[in-house]
Amino acid sequence: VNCRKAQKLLIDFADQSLAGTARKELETHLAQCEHCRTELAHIRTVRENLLSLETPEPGADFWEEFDRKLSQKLDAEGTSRTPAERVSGVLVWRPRVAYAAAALTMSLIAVLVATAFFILQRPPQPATELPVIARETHDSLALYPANDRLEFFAQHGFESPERSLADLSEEELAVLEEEMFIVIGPDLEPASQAMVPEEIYEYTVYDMLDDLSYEDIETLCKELGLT
Amino acid sequence: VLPDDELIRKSLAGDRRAFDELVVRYRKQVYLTAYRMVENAEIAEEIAQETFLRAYRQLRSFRRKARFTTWLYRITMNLCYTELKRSAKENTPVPPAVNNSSDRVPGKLMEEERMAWLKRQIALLPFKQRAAVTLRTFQNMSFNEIGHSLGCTAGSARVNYRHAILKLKEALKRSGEEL
Repeated sequence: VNCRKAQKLLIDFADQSLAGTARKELETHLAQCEHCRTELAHIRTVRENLLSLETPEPGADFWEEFDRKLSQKLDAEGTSRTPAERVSGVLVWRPRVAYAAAALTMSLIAVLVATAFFILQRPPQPATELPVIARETHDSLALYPANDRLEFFAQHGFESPERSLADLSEEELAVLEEEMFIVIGPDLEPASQAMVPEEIYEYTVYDMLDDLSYEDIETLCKELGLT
Repeated sequence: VLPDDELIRKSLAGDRRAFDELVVRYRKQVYLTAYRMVENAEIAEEIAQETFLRAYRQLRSFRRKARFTTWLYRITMNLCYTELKRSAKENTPVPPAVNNSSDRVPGKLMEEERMAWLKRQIALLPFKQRAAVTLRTFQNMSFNEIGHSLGCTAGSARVNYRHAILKLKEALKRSGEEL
């Protein structure tokens, strides 16, 4: 282990999540390298400082009031529908990056339309099959076999399509994460989450697609370029 | 003590007391996580309330592929994200002042000031980095669980955590803190 590799392992070491050969090699290196020992001390100081941050310790009165307020809200929910009566569906997750901004970085943004479908179950509208939106990204790529990853990079002009996700540098991973977003249907993992950029469509976080009208979803798909 | 899965099953069958039990079980964790993200007791309480309300509404969509707490944190983190984004729009963010004296760690000064300094540094982190640090440090969550909570892979959660720690470490070094 040289200093460069050691630096990458220090956080896991300080976190006590480094084991096996890597841990032994790092310990050997640390015994010989003052610079890396100093870096480790800095990292440990950060962790200790974080753990020393104080947070409020609400008392019994706080929780009593908390429960009372929440109970009122849940009661109001209960008079309309219980969880058992609600239809299942996908959730909407807010992406970090505006669609508009993402669109400007088309070399990184990829759109692959999934083959899965889901049925909109919300009455009174008739059950209708709608395309599940699947915008593949760094986050969802892990769900696919290696060949699919390569295909992804090849299709979307990533500089070295022969590289796999595991070969990307941290900086490249960060770029991927920042620049892309995903929308995943109920049959894919993470199954219960879908991401819809609010900048395109002003749905709140965790709005359920079931709560949108058929027209809304059609518009959404259109705006995402999926129809 | 009934396991979460059993309470969830009962809740879905319409047993409100079962859901109330889940609230009592996790309200403190949810509230404190929200507080650490938004640094405001009142808003943290609102987020905690909304988290459980949404969990109740959407309980059926919880697919039990992750722990219930991970799912709860995901809702909490989404709400925190919305709140931080909203507050960022309303308030002009203070740019990080690398060499500004106000940015220096008051190592010999009051502990309170040291904590305020650290909180400022944390507030400067991008959302996912801040969330990864919060969930890892205070909830002892695995990167896999953090990934579920943030809607990303375990690898991405690890990268975000690493970046956050490295940034805080550099800020400490810049500040001239004597270790």
